[in-house]
Amino acid sequence: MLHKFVFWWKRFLLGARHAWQNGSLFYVLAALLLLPVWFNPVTQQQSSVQDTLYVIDISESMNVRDVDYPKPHSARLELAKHAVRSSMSQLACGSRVSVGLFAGDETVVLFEPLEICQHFPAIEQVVARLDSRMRWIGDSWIIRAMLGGIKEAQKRKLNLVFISDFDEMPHRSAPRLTDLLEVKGKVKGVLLGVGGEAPQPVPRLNGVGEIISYWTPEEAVLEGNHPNLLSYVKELKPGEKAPDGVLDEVGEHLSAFNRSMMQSTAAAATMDFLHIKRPQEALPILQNVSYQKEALAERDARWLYTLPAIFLILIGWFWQKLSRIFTRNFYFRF
Amino acid sequence: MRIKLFFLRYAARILAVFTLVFFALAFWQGYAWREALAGNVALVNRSLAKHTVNPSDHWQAYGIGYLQAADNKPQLAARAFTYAEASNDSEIRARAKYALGNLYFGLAMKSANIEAGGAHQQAVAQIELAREAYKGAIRLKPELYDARYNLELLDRRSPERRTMAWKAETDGVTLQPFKRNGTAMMRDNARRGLP
Repeated sequence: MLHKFVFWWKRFLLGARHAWQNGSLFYVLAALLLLPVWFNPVTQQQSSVQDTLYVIDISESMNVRDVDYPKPHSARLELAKHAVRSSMSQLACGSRVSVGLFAGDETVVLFEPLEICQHFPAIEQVVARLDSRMRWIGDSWIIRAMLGGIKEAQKRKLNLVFISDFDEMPHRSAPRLTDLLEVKGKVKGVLLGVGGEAPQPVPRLNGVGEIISYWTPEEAVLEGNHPNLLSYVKELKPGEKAPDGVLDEVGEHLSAFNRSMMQSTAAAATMDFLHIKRPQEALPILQNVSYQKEALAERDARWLYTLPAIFLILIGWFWQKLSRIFTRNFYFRF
Repeated sequence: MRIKLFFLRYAARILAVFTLVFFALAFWQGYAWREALAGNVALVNRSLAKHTVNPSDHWQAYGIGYLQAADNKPQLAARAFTYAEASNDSEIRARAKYALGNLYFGLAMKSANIEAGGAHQQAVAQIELAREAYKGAIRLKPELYDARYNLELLDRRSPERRTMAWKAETDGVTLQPFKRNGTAMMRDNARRGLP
């Protein structure tokens, strides 16, 4: 038994000596050094992170196709999704991100905040699959939804990025901002406006997202938005239009980006605001230093192993030359 | 030429390996089919209701919940649907949420019947649970129109929702002309189209 052990030990030493002489030992060391890379090592580093809750409007007006990104006549929701994606890709590793939806007067957070670098593909998938058919109601009560978004962001200590066309439904002549004033300055954030400023008819989509028709003023009345006109419209035959001028006060079948609403809500909640036509336009305002904070963040540590491994491989590659130089100049013997 | 020779030499062995692999796959499929059939039979003859819920078998949990709900055992049904809701499969999660929504909807309607011993507060809580369940189902599976329909129905039958639009818009500043002539309450649930 001992004899065998001594035999193998001597063979090992001989092999090691050869490996040392021809430089292959460095390849073995590099391979050993690279082993931890398979376990995705991370390191904690002090970083500037930006924890963000993105709240996206999925109400029916977001189906209006009056934006030219990513292609002409795209839906407002598409631009909103691309804006979220572009913004997320600019966030530093360690930033926590969550996504919420709003329709009606409710904001629903889809998942608790996740670290962006580790979960970017999953979060990107969630954003890409957002669909206006996910809405549980067709209305959009901007102020209440913003209030909900602010409360959710505050609860999770996140900044808020609120993306909408700010077209409230039902329409109202003057927004009531008192609720927002109560949470003024509680959360930092940006309101991003999407959509054209010219009123466009709100489309109705079929199950696969194709436009099948547009809402008409008569239907807006039948939905209960103008009870004073209800009895008149009910008397009309199916498909019959009301005479010109009768339904002039009805505007719920049209939708446009509402700049004044965005400005007034932003002022009430002390948030920044911007109307975007392309996702890139949102990046400068979202990279505001005041939204960032210093925090210990997990960073990918694979490079810590990879760099020394590359160094060892290079040494192994040029070992014959290096050994000659050392032998010649320093009288080392390898 | 070499490849041809290789195949000629080893053809029998390659064939044997492939046959074994396909047999294994067929066996596995047959087993899965048998299990599915047994589950369906148990669902039809209602013997599934006697099974213990297996938290990792989400379809079984859903089936048990379905039968318990039909047998008017809402607590057991809710427990089973909650197990099914934990599935990674979005299809079954959406169905479980929809089933939970229906369960709470039914309970809410019962609770809303004060004369029969119901409690309004309980009904409101159950309506909220049903709403959240339906909303979750729609988010997971937007084409689940039954959930959408029931959510709309729930909103229309929910006393809080019916008066919400009126309350939200009634103040001295934004009072619309139609509200001054007493028709405000005609609008029970403001929305642009069905959700």
